[in-house]
Amino acid sequence: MKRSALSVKAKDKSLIYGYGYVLPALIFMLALIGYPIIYNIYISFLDMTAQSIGQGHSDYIGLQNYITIFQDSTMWKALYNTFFFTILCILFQFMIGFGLALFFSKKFRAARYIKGLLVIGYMMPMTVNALLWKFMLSPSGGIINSIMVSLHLTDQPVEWLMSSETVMWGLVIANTWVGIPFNMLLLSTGLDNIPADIYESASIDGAKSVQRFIYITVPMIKQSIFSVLLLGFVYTFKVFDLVYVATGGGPVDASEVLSTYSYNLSFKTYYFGQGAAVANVLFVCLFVVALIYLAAIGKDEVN
Amino acid sequence: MKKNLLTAILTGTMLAGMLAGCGGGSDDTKSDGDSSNADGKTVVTLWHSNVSPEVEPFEEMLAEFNEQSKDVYVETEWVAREEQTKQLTIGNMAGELPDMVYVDNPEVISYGEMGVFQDIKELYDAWDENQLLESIINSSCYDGKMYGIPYSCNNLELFYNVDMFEEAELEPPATWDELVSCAEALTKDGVYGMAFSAIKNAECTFQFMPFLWSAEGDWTSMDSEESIKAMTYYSDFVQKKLANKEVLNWSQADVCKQFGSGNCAMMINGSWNVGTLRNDYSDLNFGVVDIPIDKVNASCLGGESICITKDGNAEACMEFIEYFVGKDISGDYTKSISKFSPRSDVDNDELYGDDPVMKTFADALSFTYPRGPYPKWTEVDNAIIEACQASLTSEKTPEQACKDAAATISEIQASLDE
Repeated sequence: MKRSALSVKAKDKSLIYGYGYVLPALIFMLALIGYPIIYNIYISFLDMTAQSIGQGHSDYIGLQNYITIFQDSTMWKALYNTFFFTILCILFQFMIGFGLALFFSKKFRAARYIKGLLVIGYMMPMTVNALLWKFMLSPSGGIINSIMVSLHLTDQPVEWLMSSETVMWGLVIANTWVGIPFNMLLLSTGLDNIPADIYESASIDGAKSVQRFIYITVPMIKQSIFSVLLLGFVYTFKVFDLVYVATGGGPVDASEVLSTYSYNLSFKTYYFGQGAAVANVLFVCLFVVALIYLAAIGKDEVN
Repeated sequence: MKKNLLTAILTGTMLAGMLAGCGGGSDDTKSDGDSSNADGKTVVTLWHSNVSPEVEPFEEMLAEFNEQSKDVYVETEWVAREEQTKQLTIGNMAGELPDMVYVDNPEVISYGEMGVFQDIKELYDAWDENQLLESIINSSCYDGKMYGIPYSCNNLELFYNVDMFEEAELEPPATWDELVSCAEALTKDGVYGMAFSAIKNAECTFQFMPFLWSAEGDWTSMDSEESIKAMTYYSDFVQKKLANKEVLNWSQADVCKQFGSGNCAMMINGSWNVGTLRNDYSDLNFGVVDIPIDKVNASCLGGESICITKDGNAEACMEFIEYFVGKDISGDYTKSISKFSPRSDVDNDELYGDDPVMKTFADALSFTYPRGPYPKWTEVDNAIIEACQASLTSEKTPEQACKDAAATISEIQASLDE
């Protein structure tokens, strides 16, 4: 009797401790993340523009901002471009990053150094990357076009960032390059954690390398793969600086993505309500992805 | 348990550090115009966006002002030019504005009508040295109100590479036809005859306006025959490969680099590039002429106004502005930063007698017009940029692009009338 009362008390105490430790993080989240999100949702229902701020009050207009943005063809283009960009980037980054991670998991001599060098792209500020790729993709003297022409892949230099057909591909290439080291690093950490003796016993049992990859490597680093894909999706989906610096969403609106479209509405034409509405669409997309991730992780942990 | 405690302490320390960081930041901005310093002078804050080589002349001028003024001390904060409007918007919402700001002239009316700036018409009228060029002061006036005073201006002209012209035995062009034939003759061996900036921002419109006005078109009538003619003429430079298609992604600074490196024989660009070319490309032999014309001479006004914010100390600010834009300082100061005085009483012959290149720009101020002035100029600006880029990429015919722009602009006007 006495014993169990004591343990309840101890449990209470540790519960208080637990909440106490979570509290700073919670306050931090509420103040710096929760508040802006809620405020953003709030202003997306207001007719908030340059004029209305000047007059000191903005009228409540319900869903009108959402109706307006979805009636604008630029919004659909931005939505399409954002998904196009994200899916292709993730696909290429993940495949190449995984390939490199496997390659560098073979512990050859220079592996560590080359891996270190590869990370440079990831460490550079995005604006620098954007400018770099703007030069490299240039049709007049850019290295990508020079290589393509000298290999006879194309007769005429490709107008990567100047033509509405290729501009998104140009951006995908630039962003993939940045994303590869990130994918590689996270995946190779996962690979390093797989005990070598599992492979040993598998090969004793006669597993071929393809089988070892499918039945050991992939399941063992499932968590890493999940986190890489989720983080990659989030980083890529909210792309802003790359597009803003390299093309500004142009030519015309060919490379407009949700973030640049929202920025233009809010800070170029001062339709803050509509800008907020676009930002919320972006938020909902990411939120859904996060929920899927949580569900997947939860199921995994129960199993 | 020990580990948990450590985590908690670390989290706490980080949080405290962040709060301290935030606190430190907010001390720097002075939103009240009534603070005074140790000498008992009223302190006013100015957001400026000077970059090298404008910084030194500015600091010199400012130090002299602060030295000689009995009542006012101007403190400055630097805000990047691209950040100006964003900072103003945020500052306005947060109630943290300086007393005065530099604002790019097409933005003055938007922010003025938003209520960010004071109407300073009366103060301006009461100033005994208010002899500013009509067309330039107009850039800051709307509906009888005045939201700022232009302190420095610039405009566009045609730069040409003298060596390339001499080699091809050509004279600098004066008309649209001559410009095209020069560009045709000079486009060869990887060199393009012509260059301008058509990047997806305000620089695109800025560089397109002289063509539009020269054909006697205007942004208020984008679907007119004249406007379509201007758009066709302009986009043909890229269609006929007389200009590199990369103009779509070139800022004016990029265009200047291309011209400096000899990749193009002519460029449309502003007076501030003269210094850059002379310093960074000292071997380059270049000349400047008025932008070739269709019907009339035209150039587009660039440059900034100095605006007093809604809660700024207007009298103290005016003392500084009257000094800064006054007869004694304005001419020499703007000359020192490769820009021009908005004053009508500046003697260009005397000031630029030794510099024919800069004198060409200075003389062109008489036919330099502002964009707008219009409260929703940025929206009109977007419509024009889209039209330019759509014609340059052949996504639309110039005619269609202009008609679409006209439709968008009339919608903008309708929303303003509401």
